[in-house]
Amino acid sequence: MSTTFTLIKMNIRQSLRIDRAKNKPLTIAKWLLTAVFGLAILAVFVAMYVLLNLKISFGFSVTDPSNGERLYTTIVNEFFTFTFLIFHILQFLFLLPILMKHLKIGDDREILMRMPITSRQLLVAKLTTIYILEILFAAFVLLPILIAFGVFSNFSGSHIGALYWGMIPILLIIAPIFPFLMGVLLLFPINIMSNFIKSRHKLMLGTYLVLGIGTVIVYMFALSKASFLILNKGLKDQMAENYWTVHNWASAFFYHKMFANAVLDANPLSLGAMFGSSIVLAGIALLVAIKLYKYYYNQDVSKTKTVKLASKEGVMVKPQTSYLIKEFKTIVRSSNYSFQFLVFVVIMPIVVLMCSRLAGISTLETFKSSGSNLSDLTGAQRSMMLGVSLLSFLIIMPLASSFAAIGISREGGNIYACKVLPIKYRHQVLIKMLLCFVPIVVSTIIGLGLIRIPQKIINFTIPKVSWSETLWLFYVVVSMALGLICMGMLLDLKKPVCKAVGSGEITKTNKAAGAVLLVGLIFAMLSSTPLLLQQILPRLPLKIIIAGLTTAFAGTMFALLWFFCEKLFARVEAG
Amino acid sequence: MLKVRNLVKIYPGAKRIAANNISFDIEGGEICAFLGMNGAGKSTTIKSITGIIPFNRGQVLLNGYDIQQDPLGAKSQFGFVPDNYKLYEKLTGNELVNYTADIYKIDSATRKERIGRLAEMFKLTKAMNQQIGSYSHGMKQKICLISTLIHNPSVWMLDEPMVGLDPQSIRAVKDYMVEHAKSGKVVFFSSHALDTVAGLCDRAIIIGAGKKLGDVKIADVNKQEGGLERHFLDLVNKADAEYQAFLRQLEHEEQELAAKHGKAKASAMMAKRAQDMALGKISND
Repeated sequence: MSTTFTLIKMNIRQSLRIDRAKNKPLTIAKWLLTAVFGLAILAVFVAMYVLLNLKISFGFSVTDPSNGERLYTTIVNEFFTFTFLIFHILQFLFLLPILMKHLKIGDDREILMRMPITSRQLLVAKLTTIYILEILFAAFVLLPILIAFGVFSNFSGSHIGALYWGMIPILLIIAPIFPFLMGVLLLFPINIMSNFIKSRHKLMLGTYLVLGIGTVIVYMFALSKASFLILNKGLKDQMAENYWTVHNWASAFFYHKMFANAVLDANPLSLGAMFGSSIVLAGIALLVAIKLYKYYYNQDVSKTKTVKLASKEGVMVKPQTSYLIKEFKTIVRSSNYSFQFLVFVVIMPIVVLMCSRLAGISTLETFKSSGSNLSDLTGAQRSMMLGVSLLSFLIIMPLASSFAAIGISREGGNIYACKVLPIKYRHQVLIKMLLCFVPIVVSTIIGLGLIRIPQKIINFTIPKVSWSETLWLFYVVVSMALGLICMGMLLDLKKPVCKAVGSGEITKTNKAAGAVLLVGLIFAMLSSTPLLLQQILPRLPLKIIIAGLTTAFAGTMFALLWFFCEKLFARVEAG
Repeated sequence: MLKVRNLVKIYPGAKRIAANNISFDIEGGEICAFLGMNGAGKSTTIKSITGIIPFNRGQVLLNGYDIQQDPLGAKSQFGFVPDNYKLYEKLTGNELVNYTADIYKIDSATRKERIGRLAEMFKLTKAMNQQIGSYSHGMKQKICLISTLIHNPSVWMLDEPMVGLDPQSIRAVKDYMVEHAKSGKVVFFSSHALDTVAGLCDRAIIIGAGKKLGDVKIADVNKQEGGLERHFLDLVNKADAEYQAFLRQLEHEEQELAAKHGKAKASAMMAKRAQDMALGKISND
């Protein structure tokens, strides 16, 4: 028992990166900062949730299609059903890599196999660790929602009993069962597929792109549809009109509906149904996990899959071009890097298009209600639309630019190989920079092209941005991207993380990427907010100010990188 | 071909000099070993010579090219196999070697002939189209060796090259070293395998505690009683005793300074003194 407990302790410490030997005040400060940041995000999330919750609590009348009777109802139950469904999807996405790491490709497995530990102890320790992490995740996401619901329901007059509060810990414990089952079930086909597929990196890249783009399109489409409907007809009418569709969909997810019933009814019957069905699912999940683990455990751990790639005759190319090709190949063949490198660049034009549609819809609604026509579009309203386009570009662009901030760290132990090459350090840095910059430029051009195309939405044409505004947007986005890329590379050159093992580790431990994201997002807010609020702010030459600021930022960062890269690169060591 | 003059290297913030006034010349046709205990400064010296890390004083000339004044010219002259042989694991062996060939501007016909010959020599022909990530320890070492030889460098530098290789591959490396030296080029490698050095090299440079302790002709020491091993251990043991006394003296001085100025300031003063010594501002005798 003590061995299993030691293993669980070790696994949790490893997973949460708790290291007692390190600088204690710094570690505490990091945890505090993470906690504050997490709480800030949660506060916004809960506030939005409470607002939505208050809105959907209002009742409305609907006709039951089966018997034609009028019913007075709300969509709170359906709302909670979808909340649990979304939570389970999020938890599944969080769980899958953890499951893969612990059950399939655990780094520690080979070491542990040499020790006097039975596979049963190891499996119990691993499953317990995974489950504890999942409960923590559930607590982080669900607890604020459940507390907020309890507190605000009391305010709004509904009585929330002691059973509701007592049920919360049980709910947090059983909530991870469903995603856990889905996760272990999915690992089987993943394993089978990976044995057949020759080029895994292409599969991973394709999956990431499809998932990333698909999620964005579905989300943005749903958002624009909902905004359009709400703006046009009002929330209450919409809820009444679409009630049965939403109700039927929610009923289809019967397991999640059981959770919603348990939360809203909080009676022993609904709790029993939720608990009983969860125990059955837990039993199935455990059986599958044991089977899966035994399968992996019995495989030869030292066996590595041989990946053969097509050979090409060695045609001579220029050193710089060869360096560029090498960089590109090492990026796209790593699932982690290719995700960071390509996904954000690909989704940027889609996000920009969808956001401009949303802005267009809300502008149209203003015009419809005021009885004006589109030719009366005021400067301030144009400015608002421009602000939305800029904001949508500047929110995604730093995510893509942050990839440059691991350009040097990516080399890891290979940094020696870069340093002995007869290619100037400055050229190597510029190649790495261009590799990140060019796709962003292309993506920006595509995004601008998409928002230049007039879009017809139900008899109205959304006003497109003018040519001068398009050029201005291009200049601001591209120069800001250049500035952020140079900044990321400078920070990475100053303190690269060459000792990290694996692409995921580098991404996690490199602070330069975080700094790029922070600066990019602050600039996004600072530059787009005045444009969005120009109607109530004093008139200022905002476009000139924003373009001036980005020019100064990009110019400074590029100059600093140009002058200091040789010196900084010379100091870099693999450690 | 390789000239090292008064090389001094101290790491930023360190209290002792890692490579202290090291000088030697190696002419074409020689196989020269670089010997020393762990932490003696071998890797620091090799990294300084290859331009991987900057050094504080001195000069390194590779075929007449100064590594500090003309780094690109100097880097074109050598091939370097590091001790960690980290590689781009997502590339195939062929891709890595062709990439290196492009960097050194080797034409298609020459590279094809060299890749074929070297892959055959190191028994890696079948694995050349596999990703390096799937290679074994020894195979990674071999592909690293091949990629450094693709441009037939004037100076072939290797940091502990035999570690992890199978006997057949060790033989192949030794044979290639001899062949490379016979063609009038330099082979310079660090090693702990004294028997290999005694049987293979023309010369050995021995360092300890960052200082050059000796530069011996292998043929001469092999004639002496105990051979290279005896000679090496005598030199390093003597140097180690002196170095331990030096460290005790430094510790004593730091304690005295700490009593006067506090621990943190004393530590900073000691580091500053070492840095000044390395830069030649004060004598380092």
